Amino acid sequence: MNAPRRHSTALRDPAWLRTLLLTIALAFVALFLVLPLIAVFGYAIEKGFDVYLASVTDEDARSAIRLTLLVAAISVPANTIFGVAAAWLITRFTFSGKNLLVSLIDLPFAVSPVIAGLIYVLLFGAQSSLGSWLIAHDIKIIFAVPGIVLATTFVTFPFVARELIPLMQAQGSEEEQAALTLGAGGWSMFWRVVLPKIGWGLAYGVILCNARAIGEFGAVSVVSGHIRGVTNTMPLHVEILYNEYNRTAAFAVASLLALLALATLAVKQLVGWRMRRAEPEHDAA
Amino acid sequence: MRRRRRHALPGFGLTLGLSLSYLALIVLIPLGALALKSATIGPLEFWNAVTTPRALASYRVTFGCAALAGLVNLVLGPLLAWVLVRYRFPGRKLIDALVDLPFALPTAVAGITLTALYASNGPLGRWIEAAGYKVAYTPTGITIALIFVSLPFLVRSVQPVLEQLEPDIEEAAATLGAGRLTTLVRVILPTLWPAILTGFALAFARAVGEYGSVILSKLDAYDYAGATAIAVVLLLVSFAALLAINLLQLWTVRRRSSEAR
Amino acid sequence: MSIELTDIAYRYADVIAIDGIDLSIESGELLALLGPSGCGKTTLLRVIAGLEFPDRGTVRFEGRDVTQVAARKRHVGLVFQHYALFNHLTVFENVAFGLRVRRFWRRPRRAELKRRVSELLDLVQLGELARRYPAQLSGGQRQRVALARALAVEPEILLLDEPFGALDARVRGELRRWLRGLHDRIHVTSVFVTHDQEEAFELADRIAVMNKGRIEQLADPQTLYTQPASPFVCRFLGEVNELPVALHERWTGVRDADAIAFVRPHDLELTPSRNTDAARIESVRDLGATVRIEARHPALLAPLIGIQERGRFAENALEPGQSVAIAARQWVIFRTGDITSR
Repeated sequence: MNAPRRHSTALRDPAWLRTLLLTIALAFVALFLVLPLIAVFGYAIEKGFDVYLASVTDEDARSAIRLTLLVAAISVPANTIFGVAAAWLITRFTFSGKNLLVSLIDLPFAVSPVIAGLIYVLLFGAQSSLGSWLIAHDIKIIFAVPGIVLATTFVTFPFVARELIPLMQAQGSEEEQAALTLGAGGWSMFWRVVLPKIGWGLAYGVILCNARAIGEFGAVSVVSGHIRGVTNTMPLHVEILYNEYNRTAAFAVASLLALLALATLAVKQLVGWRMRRAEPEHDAA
Repeated sequence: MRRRRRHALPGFGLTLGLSLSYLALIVLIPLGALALKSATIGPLEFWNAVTTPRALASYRVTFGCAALAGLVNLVLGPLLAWVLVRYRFPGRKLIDALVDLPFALPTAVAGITLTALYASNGPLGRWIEAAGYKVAYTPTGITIALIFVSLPFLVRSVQPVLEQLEPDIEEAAATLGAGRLTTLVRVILPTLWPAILTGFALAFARAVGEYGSVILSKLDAYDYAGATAIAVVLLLVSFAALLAINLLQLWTVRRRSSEAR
Repeated sequence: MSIELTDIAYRYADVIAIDGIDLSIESGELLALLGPSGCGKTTLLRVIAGLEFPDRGTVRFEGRDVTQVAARKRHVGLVFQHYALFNHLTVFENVAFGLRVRRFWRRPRRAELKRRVSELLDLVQLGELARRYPAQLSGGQRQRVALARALAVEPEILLLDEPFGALDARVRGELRRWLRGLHDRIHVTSVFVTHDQEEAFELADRIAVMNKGRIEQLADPQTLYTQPASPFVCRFLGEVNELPVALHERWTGVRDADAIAFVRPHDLELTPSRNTDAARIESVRDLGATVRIEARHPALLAPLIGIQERGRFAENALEPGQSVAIAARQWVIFRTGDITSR
């Protein structure tokens, strides 16, 4: 987020307009952003800190946390590798069907998470041919961890690629071409030139992907079967607790997710700042 | 006959293979299953499933609330972006970071928080009920949740455009005698329009997507045919939104690149 | 290392970028590819570098066919128009890059590497800036880093793509002279691309004037200027007056013209005349070292342009409104039939 451009005094909005707009904007932010954020923590420690601690460390909560982290640990790296490969492919080469590929990458963005989950249930569920084969071989995908991993991977699929593609597009391939003429091989060029260039953008994409993977609810909800202690991720656990009228515990676990969200925002700002700083000046002299 | 030219940069084969197989595995095969399943349903059954009164009501709610939420953000989002880009005030950077909160916060958390706030015994719900309105578990409540969810889109799509706006055109307008408001409406707004529309489409698509979780859970969990049918409808709407977004962006780029340089 | 291009053709989308070019570059020569935007000169350079592969034709280095050889194996140094420096590396590391990515057995040891890089940095007069980053350098300095980097791998061919295009006039002039000096010392076969005729003339042993994917003329600067092979070359190399003439007479008006005489402004003589249907002076502008005179002849569409040195101008002291007679000291004639609209 850059500092506001220096506008001459001739362009300043009149004071009454400024006050009005500022007030509306701040009220909007307070009502829709700040208030919910405070509420999460407020409800979490409603009954005191001891209850809070107990809620986040009980067995079901712990297994939910473990599962959430496991799923993220699988889907985020996978999507990262894919994202880098796809971004390289799309920004450095021309080939027929490129536009189609880009649209396909954007697809999970357009698909409702619930539908994503539903798709996997259709594919691997008991009533499909593939599903019955799986059951016969005692391989569980739906209502088990692999299904959750697949659904989460689907939903967080585009994040890294979408972040890298405009970045690499804007950066151009000149440095890579220079590396080639200097004798660098493919991998050498990748590690020494490409990765350093996209470093911050990649970090940004990974952070977004991670936040989404951990927070994903809709798709996982359909696919997991809500088996407490086994196939419950944190977001699911939150919902279950709330529906059982165990509000404090629900918000306690939710507060962990909120803390993660805040950490994500903080890292996002930091990385974004670094990205802009790392951008080379275009030749002025 | 065009001979396929060799690529100077390495890695085409590898990245193409990797991308395509991953894409196939994660996206294409599952979507194919959906298409297949919906094909086996048969058009009449499909139509029935898609047009039950409950389904129709849920469409109305889904698209209605998403559109309404989108409209609210349509006005307030760019306003917020303007304030963040053009004004200086304490806490600006903090608020700017907070705009991404709905994006980073899991929907489950947002869901229960907003419900708790607007329920009859919640701090806000109490006042609203006193005024005679009910919010939680009503379309209004849903709309509020969707405003939260789609807020970032309309701010973030407009912000970069505003940041890159050169002061020149505004100064030119000023020298030509335009007042501030006139300049805003006649000069700045038209420039922002494509970004606003893009943001709206994204916000709408996201709102529809998020709401899906609510209505689908109301359906019988084992009515796969019905669920599939409705899923396809929602999917098609999302596709249309996505297509609109891409076309908009293409159109913007084409307009911009002929103006730039 | 000599370069030989035979029947190179390159097509991009619907545009023919290179239309069947043959070019022979001698070992140790400094050759310029000169032409307007879009004439294919940069594409040709990239074909030599191995960053583009032609649809047709062969590229040979000292007789060896390298047409399908990848860029990294061609041993060519390329200096990019916008430098393409590695922004995340220091000046030292940029120059050292080509040495560091070599296969293990060819990689120089640390001390050796340091020595070579330092030598090169001193050569381009940037020794003190070794630890700086590209963002902290001026345009001219960046250009020199790019050059040092390309030279570090001891290429047998040096290619430069509009190397001084992005710099301001004074720096450009200095770097031009410096590059020529460098080439005289190192004698690497060099090819550079430019659209600036003055630059080509100042630097190159020979110049290939290009237009629409073809080479219009390949010759040394002197020959190009005095014996242009086509009207395009003539027009491209500087301002020129075009006077319709009839070939059987020395000088005539437009009637019966079947050729055009191209006369440089320096070669146009204007002397006061009392003849009323002669040319009339429109403007006289003092350009400092020279004076630029514009005159109109009733039968010609375009104004006549003459340039005279200050001293000479003082002798005649022409003024706007005066009638003048036209004569030419030197000229090149092309038959009207030969002048195709290229």
